[in-house]
Amino acid sequence: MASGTFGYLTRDAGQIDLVTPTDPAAGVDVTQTIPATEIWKVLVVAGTLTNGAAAANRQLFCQLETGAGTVIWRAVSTSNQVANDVAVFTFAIYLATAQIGTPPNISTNVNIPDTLCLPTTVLRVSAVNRQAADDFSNVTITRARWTA
Amino acid sequence: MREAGETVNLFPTPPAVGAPQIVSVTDGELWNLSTVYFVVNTDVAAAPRVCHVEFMTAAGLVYWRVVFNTTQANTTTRHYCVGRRGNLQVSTQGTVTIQSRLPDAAWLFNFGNAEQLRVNLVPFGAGDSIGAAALTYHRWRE
Repeated sequence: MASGTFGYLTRDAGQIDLVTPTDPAAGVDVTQTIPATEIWKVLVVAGTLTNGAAAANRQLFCQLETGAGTVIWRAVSTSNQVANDVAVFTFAIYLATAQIGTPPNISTNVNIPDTLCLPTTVLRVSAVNRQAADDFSNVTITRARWTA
Repeated sequence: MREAGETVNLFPTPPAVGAPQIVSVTDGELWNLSTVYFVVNTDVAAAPRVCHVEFMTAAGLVYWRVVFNTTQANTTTRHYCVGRRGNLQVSTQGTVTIQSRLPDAAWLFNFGNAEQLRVNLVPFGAGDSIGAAALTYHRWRE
């Protein structure tokens, strides 16, 4: 199955701006749907994950999926984030990947691929082993956007 | 090729158990690949598998290859993601994701020469399978 007929849109540089996804409740992923009339290049996804007290090794990830949940690409952190950690995270193209800082206050960097996100696809930020009390906040997406 | 082309997502049908995933470039098109994602399930055969993403001619001549530098053990499921300027690390929690990077010049074309993308395992166990897969590429038509 192929999709996408917006090639004519990408002949110029697009519009670079910042979008703020809906702040999810604790235990819920960050999701942002690319509108049906737009193509995005996601440049940076940044925010904070504040973990609850449940013991688990979380690993942050950012992925693009279809509206039906089929994964298109995924970028996963290799660093563990434990109970009560507060991780400021940055997903970006061409980023040096690392986790620095002293728990519970850490910063996590994860590289994402240089590609385009097609209309109606969904950008998701979550964590492997995310627990019910883990809470995402202050999430921003810097994007280049082409509009039909 | 003076036009801007278009970016598309492709979700190939999983191949038969024991067979690699092969995607043939559409006749008359030039592709520049930006991401490949897929899931691999291995059978009980003990040998560690090494996963390859390869570009090859219709005759099977491989002219470009990404080799993931983490092996996959028997009776496991692994996610693989290779992207242009993408992540190089391997996650360790949950269903492990093995990540690698495509070159910027990840070109494939088919102007009568039927080039192919292949996802392969070495060795490829008879019961190994390649499951859900997704490609993102920019294409230009002749």
